[in-house]
Amino acid sequence: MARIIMHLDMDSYFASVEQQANPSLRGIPIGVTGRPKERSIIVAASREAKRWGVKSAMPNWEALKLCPSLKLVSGKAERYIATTKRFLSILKRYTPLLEVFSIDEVFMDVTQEARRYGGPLNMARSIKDEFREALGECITATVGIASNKAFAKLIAKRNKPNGIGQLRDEEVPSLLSEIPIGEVCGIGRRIEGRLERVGIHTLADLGRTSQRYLKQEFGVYGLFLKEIGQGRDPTPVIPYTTAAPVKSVGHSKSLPPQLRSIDLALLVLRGLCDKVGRRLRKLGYVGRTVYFGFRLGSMSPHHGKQITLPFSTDDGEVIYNACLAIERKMLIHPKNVSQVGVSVSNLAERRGRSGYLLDEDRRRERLNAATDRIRDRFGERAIVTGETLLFDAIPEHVGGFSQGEEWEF
Amino acid sequence: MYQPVSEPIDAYVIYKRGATHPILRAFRWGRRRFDITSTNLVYPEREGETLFLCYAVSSGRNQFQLRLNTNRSLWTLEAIDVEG
Repeated sequence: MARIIMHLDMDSYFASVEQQANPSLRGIPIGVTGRPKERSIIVAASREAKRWGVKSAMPNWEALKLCPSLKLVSGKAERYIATTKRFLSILKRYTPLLEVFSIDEVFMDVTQEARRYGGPLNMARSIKDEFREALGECITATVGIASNKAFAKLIAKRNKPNGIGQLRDEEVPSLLSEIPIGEVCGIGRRIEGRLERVGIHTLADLGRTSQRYLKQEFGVYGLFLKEIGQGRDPTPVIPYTTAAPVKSVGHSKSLPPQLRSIDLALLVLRGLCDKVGRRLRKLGYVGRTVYFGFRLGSMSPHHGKQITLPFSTDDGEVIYNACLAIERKMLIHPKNVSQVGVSVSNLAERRGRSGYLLDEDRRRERLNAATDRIRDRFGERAIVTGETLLFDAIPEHVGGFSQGEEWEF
Repeated sequence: MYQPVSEPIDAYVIYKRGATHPILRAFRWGRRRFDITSTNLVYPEREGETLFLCYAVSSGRNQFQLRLNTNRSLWTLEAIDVEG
């Protein structure tokens, strides 16, 4: 029995939520951004703004050049998270085989359930009706239906915005010959370039290429390419109930121009390390490998290095000191630091107390436990170290939602 | 454009059976009463143990952002956009 996979993709998500929240933003081009008054990027563009060529990840100045009437709106993450939780709670009533792909994308395996609704198209219509009722008229979704994930996503993309599309098996061969390889989720720009250099431009070209050649060139990934080229994608829908284990915990921050000297950037980093430590403690993990990275200027590549500590930690100060050690090792004296980031990997579950031997370490452990209790009760900014006060000078930015977000709904 | 206000207000609310949040019908700010014509978005915000419910509502052509402190049952008018 062929699978029935749905890919549900929210349309211009963050912008739609803002338009839903404020009717005076409806029908006009808006761009959701981190910092409307400073150098920042467009996180999401409304449908009206997209018509002017405004796209996600475009710098604000460039977007305003394309669309002078564009209204920049400061994003509010809580709104998007709450809306996502609301639509996920609707979807999980349709099937338990629900994979949260990102904050605004979901895969559903409805092979068993579709018949109950009179087929997948009717099921999709029912979902969209429920969304309109529960989320409001501005927040819409596009649904793609196919026998696998890759093609369901492709069909959704081709039916945007607010559409429903279904790919029937008999339509697959003609679609393969018209789809450029770069349009498929899972084929990045680098792979696309390599394939194009050897004359593979469409999925049909990929399907005709020998499996042996693809395996030789791309390893195991070549087998995936061959399958996709033949209209197949065996990847299962991974239900939200099977949460992937946490592999690393990290935070990064883009810096406004006034904070781009290395001294100030390191103070921001101190705040990030504190957040990483706090999250590790909340999750019940300790980690040994610390990565510190930064970007110089807006167009430069990312610099970064990692070190492995002789012991595991969940303490922001220890993580920060490791970052400083990395910075000294890198022998770069950076100016114009536009972004800093830190992550801790090589994680293990924290089992009971740490067993620190030194008084100072035990004191810090007690201090962390006490500040955690205060923050749990009164909020994250209720108690901070003096150094991290600078962190407050940077407005929270929206974005950075990724796969693996811990969704409770 | 929203203008910040942050003032406590009196709210007229219905606790409807089965609803996930109280339904705001009207509020009084100073001497004026604003009847809610549409509730556009409701979302939670947490500050430590305190859960706030944030309301984005319209009263005619005016837009308002309000917040309910669920621990203390206190309503505040956070911001207004009277352009419409």
